[in-house]
Amino acid sequence: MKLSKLYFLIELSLLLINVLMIWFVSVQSAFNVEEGFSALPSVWQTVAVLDIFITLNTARVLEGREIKNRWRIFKMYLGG
Amino acid sequence: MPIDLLCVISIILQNGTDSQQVSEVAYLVLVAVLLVKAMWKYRNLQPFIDHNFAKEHVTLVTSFGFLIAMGHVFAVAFYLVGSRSDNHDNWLRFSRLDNAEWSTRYIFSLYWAFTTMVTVGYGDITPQNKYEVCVVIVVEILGTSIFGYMINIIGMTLS
Repeated sequence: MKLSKLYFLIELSLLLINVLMIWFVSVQSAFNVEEGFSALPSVWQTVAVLDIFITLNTARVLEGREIKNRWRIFKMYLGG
Repeated sequence: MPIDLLCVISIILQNGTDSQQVSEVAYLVLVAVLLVKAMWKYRNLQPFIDHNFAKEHVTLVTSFGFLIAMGHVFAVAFYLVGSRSDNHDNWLRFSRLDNAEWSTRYIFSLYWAFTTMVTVGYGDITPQNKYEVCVVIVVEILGTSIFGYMINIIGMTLS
């Protein structure tokens, strides 16, 4: 499996954000943090949207022929 | 995508209710979902990492990450047991941390976890009731095993 460097960096950033989210959520729930973490849901929603966008943008080839993938289905849905 | 959906649902649950019990369950679900998602992400990255980095370095970095993560888990567990104890004999009160701000409580919990894991054990923070003693026993068994494994990994990498 070959990944481009840009894809690797984006995926790595998403992984690190995930790890940070785990830290934030566990500290917030255990230590009853009231202030400072109010942006948590919006940060997570932004990351989730970015993650979904990247996951949709996948091309798969079956026996040398490109099959209909989720990105193409998404474009068809948008009318492209 | 279902994982993302679950995350959003758990955040809504967390914000949309005043019940502490439901909120705690939502937090637990959220942490579990995020953990699965992080592992999934790492699995996607593994071929690229294996191709571009030395195996020993990857093992060393992931082992350090695991050690820090386990320290955090032990710190949270010890704090939760101390703060939820009904009687007044708990380590937070003993260390005069019961009215401190969250960052101070977190740093002291983390400090206790790492000093116990690396078998230094200064003894300035000690368990004060039977529940805390139970947690300390589990942390000592698991923590020293993890630390021993880490020392072995470092030795193998250097050799």
